[in-house]
Amino acid sequence: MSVRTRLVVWQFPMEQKIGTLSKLIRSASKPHASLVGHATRHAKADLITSFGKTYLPKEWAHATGKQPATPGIPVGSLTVPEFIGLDCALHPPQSAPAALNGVERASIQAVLIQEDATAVPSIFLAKKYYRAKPASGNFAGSKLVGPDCGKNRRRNYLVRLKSTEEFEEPDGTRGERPVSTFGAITHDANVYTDDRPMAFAYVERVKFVKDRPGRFGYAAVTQRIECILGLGSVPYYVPFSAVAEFVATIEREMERFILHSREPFSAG
Amino acid sequence: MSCFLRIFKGVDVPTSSYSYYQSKNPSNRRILFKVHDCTVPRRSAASIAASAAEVEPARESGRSVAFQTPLEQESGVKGYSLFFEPTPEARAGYPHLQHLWDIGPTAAPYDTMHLVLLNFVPHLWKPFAGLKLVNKKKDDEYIIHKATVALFGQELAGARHTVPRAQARPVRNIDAHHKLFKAVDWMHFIQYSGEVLLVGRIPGAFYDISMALSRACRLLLRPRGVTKVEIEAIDKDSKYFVANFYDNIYRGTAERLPFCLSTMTTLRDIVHLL
Repeated sequence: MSVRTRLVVWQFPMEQKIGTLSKLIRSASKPHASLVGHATRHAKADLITSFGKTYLPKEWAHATGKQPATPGIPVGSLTVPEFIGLDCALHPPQSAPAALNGVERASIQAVLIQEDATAVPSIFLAKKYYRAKPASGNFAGSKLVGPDCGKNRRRNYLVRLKSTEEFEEPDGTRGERPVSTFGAITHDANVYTDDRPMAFAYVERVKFVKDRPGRFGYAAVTQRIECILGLGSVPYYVPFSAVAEFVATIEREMERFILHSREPFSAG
Repeated sequence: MSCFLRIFKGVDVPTSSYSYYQSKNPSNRRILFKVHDCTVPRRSAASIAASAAEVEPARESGRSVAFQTPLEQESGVKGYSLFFEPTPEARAGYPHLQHLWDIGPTAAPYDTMHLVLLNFVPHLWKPFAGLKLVNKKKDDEYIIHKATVALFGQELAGARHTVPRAQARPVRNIDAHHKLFKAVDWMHFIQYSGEVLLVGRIPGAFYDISMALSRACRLLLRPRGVTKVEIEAIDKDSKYFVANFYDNIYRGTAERLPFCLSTMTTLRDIVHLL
């Protein structure tokens, strides 16, 4: 049985609507006429906007000969179809194409082998994107914050990653179970291989006091709340579909506590 | 005095024009209502109709306001109402509203935004932050030190860059701006940041009270709705909150009467409004 809680949340949009009324009623002597006049102008503006959204891209493309941008995502974004779940979109800012070297190249080769790619090239030209919109609809952005912002573009949102860990049954057999690990996305990369685009997130895992080979990225628990000490592992590429959600954190006494995940009322 | 969902007896304080609903009579320690297994009769369409029939003649006969007001306060009904108990003319004129008249008080439920986010959460924060004192005493064990409250504000302000915008509007300093907090700010505090900020900084009993409200809010305000099991969990947590709030913060003394708000009695019945 499921009960919808419409009654308990309806007041949010209602308050928003009431808040707009004072801006529409500008006249003390003729409030109703003023309200109707403003509401009519708003309705007309909405109509013009909707017509514009429908026809302007086509007109613009016809006049300039350029293809219109995909609706819903900003210019310069790239939609990457996902085979599991909904498509994700990589958003600007983006870097100029450059060759992947060192750790990045080794990591992308490793993840392609893991994803069963038929061909794993030795040279990669990649365009890095610094924002992404996964299937959940929430943005993973990066902002210039902190005293070292001139040097580092810091990811300020943590992500919960869908990972697995091996475990041993009492009878000695080994199994695999799903677990949550945490990390911060440094950038996203789009790779064309096997004639299809694939999105990967370059993730720096969180530090964990009990890190050991094959077991890392876990959050510690302080006062029954998940928390992290900081970031600090060798970054690696993971398929973007492994990003489960973006989590909020709050710093207290040198520890970053992970806040309970909220279900937003809208994708915002 | 009567409440919206049940016919509780309250205490009218003329100096503050408030009515307070205490669980025990401080003078003789008699239990006025129990949070768990409450036996106070619930309001129904029939009881609202009876109260309206009692109050309405006083209005129609032109009795003084001084006569009418105690009657209205005693019954909790001001007279005929289109949505609860209409006048005979309205009853004949709006037959399609019959369902509302039949279901009684839940025809116009409280909305959780105002009841919980703009009422309980600020009223929970005020004693914790030392903004609601009893006899100007600042040594109650639930009062958080001023410097710690200031630290809360700094930590919240510092979280602006680490809380995704889809989850909250820019987090605000609760110490500096609590008077300007909107429902969404209180929602973020009670459901998410409060858990981290309060843990270890207030005694465990008071932390448990705030977490009970937090858990109830996480389900109550969830956009995708709740199941029957989750409704039972909300009921358990809200009753735990009310019972422990009365035990640990009100403590059954006359000087602490202002903690017994009418909405507190409504919270224990909040699942009936879903």
